[in-house]
Amino acid sequence: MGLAAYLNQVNYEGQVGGTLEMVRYSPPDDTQYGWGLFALGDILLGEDGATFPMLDGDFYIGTYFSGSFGNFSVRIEALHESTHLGDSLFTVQTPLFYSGGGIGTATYTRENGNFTLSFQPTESFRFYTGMGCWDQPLITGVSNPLFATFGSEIYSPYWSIDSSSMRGYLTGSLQWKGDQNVWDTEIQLGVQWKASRTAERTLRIALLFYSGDNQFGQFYNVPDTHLALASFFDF
Amino acid sequence: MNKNFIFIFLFMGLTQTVLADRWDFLPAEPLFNPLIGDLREPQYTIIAPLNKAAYDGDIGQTFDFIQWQSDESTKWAWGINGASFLELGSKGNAEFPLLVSDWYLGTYFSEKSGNLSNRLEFEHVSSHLGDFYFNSSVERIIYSRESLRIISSYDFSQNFRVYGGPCYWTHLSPDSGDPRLFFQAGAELYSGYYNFFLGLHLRGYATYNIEVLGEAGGVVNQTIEAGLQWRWKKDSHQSLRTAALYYTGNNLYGQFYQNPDSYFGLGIFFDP
Repeated sequence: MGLAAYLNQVNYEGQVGGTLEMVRYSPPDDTQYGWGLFALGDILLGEDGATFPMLDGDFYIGTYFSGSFGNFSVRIEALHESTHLGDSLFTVQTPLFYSGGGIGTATYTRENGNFTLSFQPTESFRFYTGMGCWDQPLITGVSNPLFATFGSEIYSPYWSIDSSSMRGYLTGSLQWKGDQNVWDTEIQLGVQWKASRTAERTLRIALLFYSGDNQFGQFYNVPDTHLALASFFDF
Repeated sequence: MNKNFIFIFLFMGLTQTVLADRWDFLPAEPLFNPLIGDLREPQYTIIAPLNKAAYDGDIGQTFDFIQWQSDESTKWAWGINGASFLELGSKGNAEFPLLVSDWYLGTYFSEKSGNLSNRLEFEHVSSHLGDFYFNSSVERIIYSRESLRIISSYDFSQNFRVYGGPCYWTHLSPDSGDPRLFFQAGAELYSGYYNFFLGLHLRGYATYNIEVLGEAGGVVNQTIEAGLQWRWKKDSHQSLRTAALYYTGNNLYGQFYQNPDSYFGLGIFFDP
């Protein structure tokens, strides 16, 4: 769950959702395997005085298998996505719809399969890379459905606040989208607060920089560069 | 921007004031047990109504920031919740157009003393017409509301719970001058546990939830749910539920709040 206030645009972004690990298998050889579901609702709001008109709502639902082998972990994921123009824009622009092979008259919806490999040699550093393939490309006439992701996470040592633990973090990710032939970049710099060092639930507050094409499906081909102040609730 | 910083400083200040007590930061489970019979409680849900070509989904979470124990028998908590409720139509060919989506964001204080627990919640909801109705004759309304809700809950045993309390709309848009006070009540009934395969615990459950509102000339929304609940641990809130349910009243989605709605449905619920 997260909230972000754009600092250089009059926009707000909200996220609800999470990952639910349904089953985890831990054999005696220190490997672990999991299967789970995830769902996410992502909303983009404008601001008009004291009201916040909806510009876009995107929904994701998926399932994954994951495995952990020492410093390495892998995840295979199948994801469904749909995007919906906010009702405040109904008189301004026509909703973008997907159909087989491109933009048409059917509901915007598509799926991808993707694979991620993560390497975490220490508690303070993690690197990951992955690639995936959409069942249909975004733009009619463009046939490359592939995408690739590279990212890293760097954490400071923990410091104590009473019995809780806090640390700084810096993340960077690059995503290449074959159908638009564009690189999306995201950088986060913030603090992460936990009940203890081993706790899974965290509260994060971060400065976020994004540059690339808009992440909301209805505006997929609109360049977007924003700086935001964001809070995230990880569970 | 300034509001964000004020929020952060208030949050830091509040945490400092409770450090002197015994406190848990970001506990794994909320102090106030979620009202699983309330279809507007944040949870992960898919419901298939049997008498209409539509599907209802809910993506939502309740998140206690802090719990603190003020004496041997009393605990307090402060947290937030957020949820998105969406209704999808069905056009065949695996196409599910968005009919409407409602978005909730709230904050609450809760308290628990023995079998009695209470929750005071301030919640914002906005409702948005889905793009299925783009260029249609269905008119969009600007639906935005805030409410204060006080719910008291009493566990007579591990198998029986009742709850209820008054609620008040502090902001209504559209505001047609209807009474702002409304009431919610309900009950949860559970069977004993049965051992299931892989060490899972299974029990049956039934819930009833009622809301009495002054809007649209007076509305009584009722939900009856009966199903099975799977848990890994008996004392954990985390569960998977499958249930049959019946709903009658007015439509729960803000864009259609004046329209009567009644359906039987099958649902899967994930309580994180």
